[in-house]
Amino acid sequence: MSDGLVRILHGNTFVVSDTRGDIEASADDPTGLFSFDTRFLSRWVLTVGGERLTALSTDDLQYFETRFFLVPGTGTVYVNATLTVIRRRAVDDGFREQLTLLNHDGSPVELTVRVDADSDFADLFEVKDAMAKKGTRTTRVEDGRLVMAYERGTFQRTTTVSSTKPARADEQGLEFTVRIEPHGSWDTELHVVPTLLGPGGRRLLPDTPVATGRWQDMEDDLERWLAAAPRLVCDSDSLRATYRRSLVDLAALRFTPMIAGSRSLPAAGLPWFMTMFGRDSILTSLQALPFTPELAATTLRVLGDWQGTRVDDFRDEDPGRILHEMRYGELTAFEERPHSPYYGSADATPLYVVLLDEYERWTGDDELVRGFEPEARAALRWIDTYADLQGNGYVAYQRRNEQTGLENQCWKDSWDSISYHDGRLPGFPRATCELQGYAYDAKVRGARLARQFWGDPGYADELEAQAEDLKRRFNRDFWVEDGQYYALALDADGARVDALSSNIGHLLWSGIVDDDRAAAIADHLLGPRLFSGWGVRTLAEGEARYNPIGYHVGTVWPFDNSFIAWGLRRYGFKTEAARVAAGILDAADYFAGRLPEAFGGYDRDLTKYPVQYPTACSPQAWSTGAPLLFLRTLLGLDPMGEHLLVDPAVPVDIGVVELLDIPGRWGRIDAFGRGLVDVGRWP
Amino acid sequence: MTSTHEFFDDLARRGHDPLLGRVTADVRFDLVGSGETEHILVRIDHGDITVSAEDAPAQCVVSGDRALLDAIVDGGTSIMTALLRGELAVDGDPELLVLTQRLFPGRVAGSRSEQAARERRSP
Repeated sequence: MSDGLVRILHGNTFVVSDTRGDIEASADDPTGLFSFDTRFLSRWVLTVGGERLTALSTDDLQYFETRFFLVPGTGTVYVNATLTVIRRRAVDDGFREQLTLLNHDGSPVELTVRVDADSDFADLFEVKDAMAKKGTRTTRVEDGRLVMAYERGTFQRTTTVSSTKPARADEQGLEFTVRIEPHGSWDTELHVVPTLLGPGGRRLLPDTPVATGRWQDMEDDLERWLAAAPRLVCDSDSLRATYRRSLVDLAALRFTPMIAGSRSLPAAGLPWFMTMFGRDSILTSLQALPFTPELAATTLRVLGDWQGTRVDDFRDEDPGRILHEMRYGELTAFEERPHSPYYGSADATPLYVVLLDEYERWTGDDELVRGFEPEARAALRWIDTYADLQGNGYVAYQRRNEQTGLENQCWKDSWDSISYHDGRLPGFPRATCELQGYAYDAKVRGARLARQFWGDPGYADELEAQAEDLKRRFNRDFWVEDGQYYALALDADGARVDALSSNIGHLLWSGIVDDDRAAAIADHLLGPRLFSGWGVRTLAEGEARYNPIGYHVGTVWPFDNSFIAWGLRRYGFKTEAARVAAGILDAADYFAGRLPEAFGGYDRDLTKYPVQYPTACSPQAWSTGAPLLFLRTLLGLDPMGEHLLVDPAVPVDIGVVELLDIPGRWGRIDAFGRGLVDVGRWP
Repeated sequence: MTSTHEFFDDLARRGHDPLLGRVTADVRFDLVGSGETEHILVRIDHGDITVSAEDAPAQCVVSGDRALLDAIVDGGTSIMTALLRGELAVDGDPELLVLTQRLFPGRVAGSRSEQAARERRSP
């Protein structure tokens, strides 16, 4: 990795170490073994013969597995060691590390191998904010194992370190005395097991299937996942590599919430967001629907189960609201943070209905659509009641938890993301434009569900009338006549927040844009102020807060662009959609197929390569899903009744694209496209 | 009469909760503390609810201190955070726990913005 860190993960457990495999975490850096939002290992240092090691190479074997090739000693100009050390590490519910020493010498060798271990049991939130612990840490040695424990009242977490070969355990780690014959080898397997304890010292959570699994099982599971996805045959090596990378990373980001049995949904991203997020899980499920529809099913089920039912200011919960974020760490447990779950998101609720409908259109799974009718109705009700904070019929947000709640409850959630053209920040509540698009789409789709599956044509008529009215009002109230685009938001007084932003692209996706205005929107999206050549910027050049490396005020987000391209297609702008797709897919090539969360908004002519945003999360679920949605868009895939429509508009440079065995209500079907769209060239 | 008893008596009187329309299962609450463990068995059949003191097998068993259950039904804390703190034990299907927690009140209600929203709520 470019930052010198090696990451492997499985579900919500992940290990971040240096290139030697060592962990030496400080209070505020995200290295260590993390599980359930808690750092279970903050120190993990291997020495051989009292010496630290030097990495010769690091192989990322799988997302859950890495191999480090090492030699003893550090700081030498050249290496002339007679000993090789191999650490092969795989994540399960904790991790396993196979330690192998090879003696290349003609004489036997006797030495001490030692692993130092420690845990600070930091909550992930504490790591982000460098906070102090309130409980007590203890360490003990038990039958050759090292047990580190943390206790705060009834809250108990432990980390147990053991090995397959007998070790001398002390309170700082495990030590082995090793004798290796000439040209011989020695190995052991180290186990690090994090445990959440409940009453009476029982485990809080049942074992997941992987906890009892073997190395081979995890590899088989990945192979099955890849085999079940459609096969991409195409001329472009780059696109093939990006597609495979996306599928593998999506497998890595699968997260099994406590209540989902063995089913999984997409977590948001590594390292900070290996948990369930309403918005991220829904949008990623939408992107991946033609490829791995089962993710959408789990997302709908789990988010539906957790739907808000009460008014709770601490969690910003309302009846019908879909959650924003779930956490399992100490601060959440003691209600010092509201994430149990936290509901402060204004888009997850309408998007839930959008996903439910889109899921049925692809899969024909009417059972789920019928089963979750009450949840869908409650979500639709939330749009018109609790979300209408300005009293003007628009979805708006304002946190009620003013200590630890989120200020901006749309996807652009940083403090300065919503601004007027002149840079001022509006007050609250804020009604951003894309929320109205999502609400419109939710009503239109809700009407289809009501008519077709819930046997309630009256409700369907009502929703359609509301949608029509919303579209009419929106086109009147949000339109910035001077600039010929939609305002970013309405402020607390109902006045337009008049910055030009990428949000207008989401409006195309939702269908709320009047037909006679769509061309103006497409022109802006592909125009010099928004389009960098790599993609559409979050905020247009010329806005007061524009900054090409500002998180939501000028960077290019691959996920954002994937929905913008889908929107352009919806209004018939095939070439423009292909241009956006081509730009981002070209960028993916510079990141070995793994698109970061965001990259700089610099002109493509200026930088020649996409500049990664400094602290971008990677892999991140909706960036991982972006190439999948681009493929759908380029091939023009859309379910129509029991059939799949294919209407390709593929850039010339990509050439021939065949997507084989696309799963859906039709069984499996193939789609073909040939690169005929000229998207222009970059030097 | 404790908050927990009042809550379950009220639930039994209502006899139905649409929030559990999708659920058909038995959930048992075991209240521990001084004296004998007390059982509250909630049988749910598509949202129809009956409550008894039976110690019968259930698909989900939640056990915790009496005072803790009182705090949960009073909205002083939540099932999820009590579970994470290790104060509550759950056996069986955790999905049922999540669905059942829909019945309990939240932590704090009634801010101004909320009241405004409630007034606008359609009947």
